[in-house]
Amino acid sequence: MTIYIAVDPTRPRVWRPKMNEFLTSYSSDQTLLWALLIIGVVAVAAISLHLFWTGVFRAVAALLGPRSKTPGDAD
Amino acid sequence: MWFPNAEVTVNPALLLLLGVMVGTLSGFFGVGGGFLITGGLLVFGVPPVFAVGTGLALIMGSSIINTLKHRHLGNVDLRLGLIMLVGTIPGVFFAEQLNSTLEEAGIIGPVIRYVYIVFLAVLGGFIIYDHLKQRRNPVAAAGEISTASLARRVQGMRIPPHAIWLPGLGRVPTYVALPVSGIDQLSVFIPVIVGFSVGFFAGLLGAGGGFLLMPVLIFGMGVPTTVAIGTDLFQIIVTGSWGTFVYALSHNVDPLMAIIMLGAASIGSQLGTAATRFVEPAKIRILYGVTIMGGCISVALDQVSTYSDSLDFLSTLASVILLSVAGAMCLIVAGMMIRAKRERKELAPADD
Repeated sequence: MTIYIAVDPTRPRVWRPKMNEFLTSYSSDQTLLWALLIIGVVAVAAISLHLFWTGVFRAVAALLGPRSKTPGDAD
Repeated sequence: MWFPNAEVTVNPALLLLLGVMVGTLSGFFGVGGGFLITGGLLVFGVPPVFAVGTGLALIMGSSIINTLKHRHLGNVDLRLGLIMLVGTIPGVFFAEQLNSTLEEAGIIGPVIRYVYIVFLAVLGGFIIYDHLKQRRNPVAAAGEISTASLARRVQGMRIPPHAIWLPGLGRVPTYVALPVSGIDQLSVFIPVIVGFSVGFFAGLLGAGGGFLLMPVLIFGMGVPTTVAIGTDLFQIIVTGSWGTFVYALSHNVDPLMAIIMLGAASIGSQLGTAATRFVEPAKIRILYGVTIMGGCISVALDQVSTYSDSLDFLSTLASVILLSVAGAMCLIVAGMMIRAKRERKELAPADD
């Protein structure tokens, strides 16, 4: 078994061919599991992205909120 | 970038751009954007079957993000959405049966395209007509649709049986109140029939069905525009998931491509959903009508391109028109939101 150091730029990166191999072979070998995996991955990614953006907007609102509540703005 | 499942190299920047456009329009109009994604991916050189399959995965993901966002804004009528699902699911199954029959007869391609063109033309034409009619009628209440009386009649329809027996619940009335949609009482059979019809045509056309449901909810049932958008997206989660599952079973989805576009769509979704808070419903409807007409012209050109080899260029032109209309709409939506936000800010001190 060959182990490559990921940060070494002189050596080939093995993760991409392995990922490609997984994506192509798993989809043809395990049809039902593959379909369920895709549904699951897309759903989890969508929910994670929603939570991420909600967090970002809350953080921005928290940062900008106090600034807009100056006495001048209240008038 | 190489996509191993679709076996194609696509520039990821183009995918990101398409994703942002889909997310914006999906959040703003409450549609899945299937016709836009498929057209765009075809221009990028993705094989047709992968363009549809991967498009459905993106529709599913972006509709989840947009539904969650619209729910936060109070724009999703979950009760109405769940009742419609009772009809949507069998509708999709029936459409698949019909699709198989048409496929065996070898006429599925042209039939679907012609049905698609007619639907898009009728919907787009009606929405534009409604807008022009309302603009000419100064007596009509601001923002009221031309079919307001029809919607009131539909809401007042009494369809037997007026109560049904359910195990564990006994006799249950077949009328529901939909407070989120502002409907006091509605026969459950109406949303079930609407759900069935939309599911049937969605399954037949291989789309999420959002482009049909949104105007039906507004003009046929009198649901407020923003609630129609949110509830429509909730429905698309189901039809999009089913479509993704079916295409994934036949290995026609590229998950890597879908995830890249979904990341970009989530950015567009923030703009699209936020814009519904600032842009008037009447303006949302007319922009939707124009987009639908753009889609209609694009599909019609695509159909004409199949008549002769010398007309092949029309297929590319169709996708270019579609992407241009979508890109222009995104810019208009962003511009309208900024303008409306600025106007509100200027009015705010006067209100105090």
